[in-house]
Amino acid sequence: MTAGNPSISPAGRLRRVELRRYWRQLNAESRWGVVILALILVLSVSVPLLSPNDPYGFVDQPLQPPSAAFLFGTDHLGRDLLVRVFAAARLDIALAILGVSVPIVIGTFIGTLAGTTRNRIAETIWDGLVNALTAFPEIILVLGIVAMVGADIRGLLIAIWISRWAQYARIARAKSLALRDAEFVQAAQVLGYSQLRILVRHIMPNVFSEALAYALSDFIFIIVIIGGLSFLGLGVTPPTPEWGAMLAEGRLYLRTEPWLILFPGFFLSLTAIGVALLARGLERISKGEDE
Amino acid sequence: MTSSPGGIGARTLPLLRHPVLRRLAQAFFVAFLLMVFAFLLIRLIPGDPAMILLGDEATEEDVIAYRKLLGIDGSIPSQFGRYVSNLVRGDFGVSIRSREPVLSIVGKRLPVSLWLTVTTIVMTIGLALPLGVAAALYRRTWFGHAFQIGASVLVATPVFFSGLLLILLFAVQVNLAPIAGYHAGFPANLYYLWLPALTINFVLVPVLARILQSSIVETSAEEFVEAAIIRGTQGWRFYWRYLLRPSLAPTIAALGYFAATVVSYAVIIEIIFNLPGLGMTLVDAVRNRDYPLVQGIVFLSGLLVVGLTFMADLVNGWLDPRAQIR
Amino acid sequence: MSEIEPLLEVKDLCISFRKGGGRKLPVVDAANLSLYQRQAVGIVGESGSGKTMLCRALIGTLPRHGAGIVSGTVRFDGQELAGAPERVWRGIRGREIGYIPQSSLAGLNPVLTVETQLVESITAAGSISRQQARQEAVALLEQVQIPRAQQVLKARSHQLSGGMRQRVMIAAAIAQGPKLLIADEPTTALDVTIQREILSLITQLRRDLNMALILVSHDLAVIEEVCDDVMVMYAGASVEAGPVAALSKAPRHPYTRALRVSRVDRAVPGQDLEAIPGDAASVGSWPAGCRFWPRCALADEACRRDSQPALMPTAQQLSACIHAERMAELEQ
Ligand SMILES: Nc1ncnc2c1ncn2[C@@H]1O[C@H](COP(=O)(O)OP(=O)(O)OP(=O)(O)O)[C@@H](O)[C@H]1O
Ligand code: SF4
Ligand SMILES: [Mg+2]
Repeated sequence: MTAGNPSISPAGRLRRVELRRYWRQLNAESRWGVVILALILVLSVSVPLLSPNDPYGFVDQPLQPPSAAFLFGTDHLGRDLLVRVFAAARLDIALAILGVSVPIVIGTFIGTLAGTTRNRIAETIWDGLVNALTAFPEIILVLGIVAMVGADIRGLLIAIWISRWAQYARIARAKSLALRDAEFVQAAQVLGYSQLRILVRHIMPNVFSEALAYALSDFIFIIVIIGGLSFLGLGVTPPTPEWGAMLAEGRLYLRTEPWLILFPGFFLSLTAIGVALLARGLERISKGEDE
Repeated sequence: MTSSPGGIGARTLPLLRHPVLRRLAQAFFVAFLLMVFAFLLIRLIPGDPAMILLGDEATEEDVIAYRKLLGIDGSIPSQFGRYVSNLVRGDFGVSIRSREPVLSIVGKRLPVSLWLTVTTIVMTIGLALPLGVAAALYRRTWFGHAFQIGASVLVATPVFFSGLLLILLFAVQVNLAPIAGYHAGFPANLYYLWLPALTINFVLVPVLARILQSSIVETSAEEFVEAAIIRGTQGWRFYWRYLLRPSLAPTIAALGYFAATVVSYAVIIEIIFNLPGLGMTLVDAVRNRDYPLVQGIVFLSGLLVVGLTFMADLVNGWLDPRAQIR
Repeated sequence: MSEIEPLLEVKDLCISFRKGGGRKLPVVDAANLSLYQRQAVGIVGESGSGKTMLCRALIGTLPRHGAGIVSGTVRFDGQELAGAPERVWRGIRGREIGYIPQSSLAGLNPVLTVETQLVESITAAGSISRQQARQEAVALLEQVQIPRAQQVLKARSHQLSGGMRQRVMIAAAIAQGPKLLIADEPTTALDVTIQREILSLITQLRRDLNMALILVSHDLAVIEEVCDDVMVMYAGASVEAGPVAALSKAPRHPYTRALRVSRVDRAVPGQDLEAIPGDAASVGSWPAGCRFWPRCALADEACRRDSQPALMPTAQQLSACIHAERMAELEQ
């Protein structure tokens, strides 16, 4: 390895070494998660790029079973299912990342703010608010917001953002409550740093790492919500390739052409399983229990 | 010294210190906030809801009538006051579509959803208990490993996919369930409900069985289990009293926590299996922009979850006195 | 020594944990103990020396903890218990040998009442009506000097103080009239006054019920007060055993002496022994030779070279030190 590929910059080599070190720290579960996710990412980038077919374009007779020409067969409008499945992967994963990242930022910020105040009454009301918001059945709250904002991608994202931040706020508050009395925070106070600076520079980063752990399991839930609402026809709508919407379309041909749901459903599940394995593996590593 | 044997019920508790009453008070506070959220929901609509519903050529009178219908006429505080006093009198507004009171629509559709919820939970308990116990007792065998892998896979499989797969298997391949539809009346309705309930349980059972399993494993290392073995406790008595019952509290608490998830997934399940419950009504209402109906269902489903969680708390307090002293 | 056979005789007992891949981790190696009817023997040793594991071997619950007897014998009342099947153990546990577990504050099931658990103990011995069992439970609680027995019967663990819980555990342990009571550090988690009460209760019960007693403790003083004999454990092995008086007057093992000295130095009663120089030998990394040599002032080449010395008779006791006769050197 020391011979080195001349095209790899020193920084690149360093990163490789680091990557290998991370890999070694992983357990079987999290490794499987990484492998599955890497596979799906590679396929979702390469398949639409390399295939001559367009996810929206008619290519052949509709409802053809999988064959050498069309590995996943064709759908009810004669489109190439393979390209559509992986075009959908791009959209779903991108939407899920968008869906997770906004609540995590908003939630940790609000939660950290709440965790650093010391007012009993404010705390009680705060607890009630977060409990109430999280008492709504998730999908029903999302549906309710979508009904008001609009049944499209924009409405779906807004609904996810509004309904998911509270979970992060809850985690962030608990963590920052523990942190506000920590030594380094008090040291910063003694040094006369402003509240905001202490919050942003000292408490937030610590809280954030905790929230990231939760974000993985939230990712699964959000990708299910995106697929679920689109399945109901209230999120991403046809002809845009999206796993849930494709399942809704394919459902009509369940008896005769089951591959229409098997392929999108399989890759949707596989993505969620990959994230679940990664999350569980990491959780077990952080708890110190290995195989 | 011997005369102070440590207090038995030494303190008498003022009313709100009683755990059940305190939980009840919390539940009411949360219910009040649910109401506030539901009120705010309709204010999320960008622009004038009446105009959105009526279109551009609406007459002035129509718009005013619609605003009244939606409860969005007058100042915000007066709107809220009217909203609360209506709710307290059981008036949840009327559906824009059918002009039927929201509460009566819900009353008609709720039984299907309740049946689905109850069937699901009964099935959850029936499946998660034996699975969790078995997974704990045989956790070092092939069964334990298979359980872990299977659980990871099932938990991550979205219900709208597993539901379709189950239909493919049980309704299309072997004729054990209808493809979709519903007929009221117990026990005939179970024929229509068992497959939807099983679908939800594909997600729920692995989670709960896992919680139960780790809880049993934890319990079995406790000193009181050893003490029971030494005093010669055996058979069902040993398993129920010393392994299962002390381990149930976290599982029941989780079941309460997942009540929201059950109600959530029930929406999608009702669509897949064509069950005319609240979920289907909600989805239709969303499609039709039937704002009052959406608002009412969102609020009531929140209430339902708060109620279920409260009940799980009660069962928990009965099963495990440790849970009450917290 | 005596003509009559001991009630319990443990000879060269070795206990190992079973680790993954068929590996074994010995935690007790060469434990020896003998005890006659109505006799009280103390077991003393530092934390991790294997006292609890030895006790578990005596009630047959090692497998539950992933451990087992590798070699050696456990004779109880004329019966060999090492490797005995579960069926035999069921006749022994509770009925013949009562046991108070170490963290006995956690020994009561939190979701059951005291009554349920006591009745279990009572009915395990034979068929008896619920009514009778209840009366007997009250009698048992009175026997362990619990006032307001009726009320305590209805209580659950979290409603009782530490001392009360310990009394209930004792009541459950003696319910079936065992010949031998094993108490694994029965006073460790209690405060000092309660400790005294529990100890005198155990002493009294032993006399009243004609039981033999094995009392495990960190604290030599406790054992000297309650027991006739004492066995000292170090790193899984019995290193000295004999009458309490002999061991306190003239210990024949450097470790026992160190225990005694450290006891005198100690200011706070009921705490771990810390005054012995050097680190306790930890499981999995016992030194070769005599396991005590890294901390022993008398250690020489022979101690390091040979294996753990066997217990050998000295003047009035047994010692596992090859230089037992040189103990006097330590007094300077
Ligand atoms: N499950 C286990 N696996 C491996 N080693 C164990 C396990 N349980 C206990 N041990 C080890 O076995 C050794 C003996 O433990 P034991 O509980 O018998 O000590 P002890 O003398 O009772 O100590 P204490 O005074 O702290 O109760 C300890 O070093 C402990 O670390
Ligand atoms: S055998 Fe040697 S090392 Fe061991 S106790 Fe005796 S003198 Fe010390
Ligand atoms: Mg011990």
